[in-house]
Amino acid sequence: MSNPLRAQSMPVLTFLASLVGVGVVLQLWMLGTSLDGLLSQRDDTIMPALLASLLLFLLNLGLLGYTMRLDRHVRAYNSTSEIHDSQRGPDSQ
Amino acid sequence: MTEKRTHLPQWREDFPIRWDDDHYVTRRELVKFLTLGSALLVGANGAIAVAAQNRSVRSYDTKLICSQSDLAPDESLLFRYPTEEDPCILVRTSTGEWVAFSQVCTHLSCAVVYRKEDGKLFCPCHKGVFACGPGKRGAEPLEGPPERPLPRIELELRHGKVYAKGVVA
Repeated sequence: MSNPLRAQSMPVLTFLASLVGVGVVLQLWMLGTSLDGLLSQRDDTIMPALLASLLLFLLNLGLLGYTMRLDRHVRAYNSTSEIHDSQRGPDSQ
Repeated sequence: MTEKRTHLPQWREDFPIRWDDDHYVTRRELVKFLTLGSALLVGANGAIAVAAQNRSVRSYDTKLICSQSDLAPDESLLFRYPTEEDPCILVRTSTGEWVAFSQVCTHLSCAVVYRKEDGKLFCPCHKGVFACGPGKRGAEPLEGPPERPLPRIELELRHGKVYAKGVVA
């Protein structure tokens, strides 16, 4: 990997993707519960499932925001290192 | 750098893809994609909540079922409502209350009957039992395979007659 910061952030990114994935699976479960409640006319499960799903979405949104910030940080490092490389010139490589 | 390349197989030189960088971008895009899916799932859950809120009495034309004097307590009468393809059962309970439900069992659509011995609705096909009272959702399943209640028929008692005026489903 050309950018060492990118290499370091890979495990973090993998962990974040896993967390978001677990959240989505839980949301699928909530959707199944809601649908079951709607079809069996047991409305008492629908609102808690909606609230839990909304909370998981907000958590996922927060994790996405963190991912994007991390990515910006990595890109910024990349561009500054390219500038340094170009200032050093081809002979220095 | 040149020395390092000499150890690489020919195909790596022909297709110099940085797989680690590719994996990084793939994971980042996966987080974006999953979050989009998460938003869609919240939307679907919200749609279900709205559908549950809007579910209420479906009104149809009022239809005369019988006179109040036609049924003694603990007796039942079959009728069809809202169309001729919708069999229903009207019950005058032992306490004198009037209740009516769809006669189609929510398990496998057999016809339920009123059981005088315990005042419950009974499906003879798979021995399903439903409560026969003025429940909010309809006739609640009590025993056997049915899991959903029988839809309740809204009744109106007027001038000594019994009318059907809607279906609670």
